Amino acid sequence: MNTDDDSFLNSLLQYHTRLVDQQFVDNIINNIKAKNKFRLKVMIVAIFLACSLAIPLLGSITEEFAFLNAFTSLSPYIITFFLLSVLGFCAWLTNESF
Amino acid sequence: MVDDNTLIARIISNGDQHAFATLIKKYQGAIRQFLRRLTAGEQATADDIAQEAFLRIYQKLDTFLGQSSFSTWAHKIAYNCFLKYKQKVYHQYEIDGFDFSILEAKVEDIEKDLLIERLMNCLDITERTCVTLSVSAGMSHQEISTITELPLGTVKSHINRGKQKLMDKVNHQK
Repeated sequence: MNTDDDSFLNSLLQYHTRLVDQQFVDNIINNIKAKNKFRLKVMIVAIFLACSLAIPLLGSITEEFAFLNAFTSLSPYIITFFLLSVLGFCAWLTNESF
Repeated sequence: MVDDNTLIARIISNGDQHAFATLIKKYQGAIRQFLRRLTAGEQATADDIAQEAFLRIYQKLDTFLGQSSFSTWAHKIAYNCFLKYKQKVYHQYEIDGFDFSILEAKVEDIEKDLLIERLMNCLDITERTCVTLSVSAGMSHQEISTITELPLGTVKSHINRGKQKLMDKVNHQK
């Protein structure tokens, strides 16, 4: 390939129309907003569930942590499963790309 | 104009979407052009991959360590998105019979763009990537090596072989 060929090919490959498109930018930003919205909704549901479980316990908190005692007396398999589920759910929530 | 590092810091610290929009505006031309060459003229597909790439850039921005320039890092993500797409579906256009007189004639720029993009079909993916990054994007061999994860010598030979193939194709069609 001689120098003329090389410069012809280079100028050919360097040719391109300018790609600037506001719609392209808006689509990506909207996509990010939609994902954030979904993430917020999931978190609200999770907080609601946690509160609905926790509030009834407030009444029994004076009864020497009856719920905690009942929980710890459960099968270790159930406790492990419960803890792993909560841990997994929390990890999923904190993952940016879920 | 605000530099890339300041914009990145704003996005990471408080998810500033305006800062990210500025980054997209700055790099969309380079990334979309790169992907259009890699897909050899499938412009809609290239733009879809570019969108996916920018979303991944946003998600992974906190892993950007500044060891390379932001442009190199962004191109690497775009390249990986393209490879992922290629594993799922891949089309090959026939380019025989293209009218290369378009290159000399004063026609719509878009037609010229498309012709050059489809010309890339005579190269394999690695050659296409190396030639585009080297000649069109003006990147150094070291940067191309970072993006493609190929040794420097291999990058150089892919560029030379790719350019030779393109020149043969153009001369043959003339």
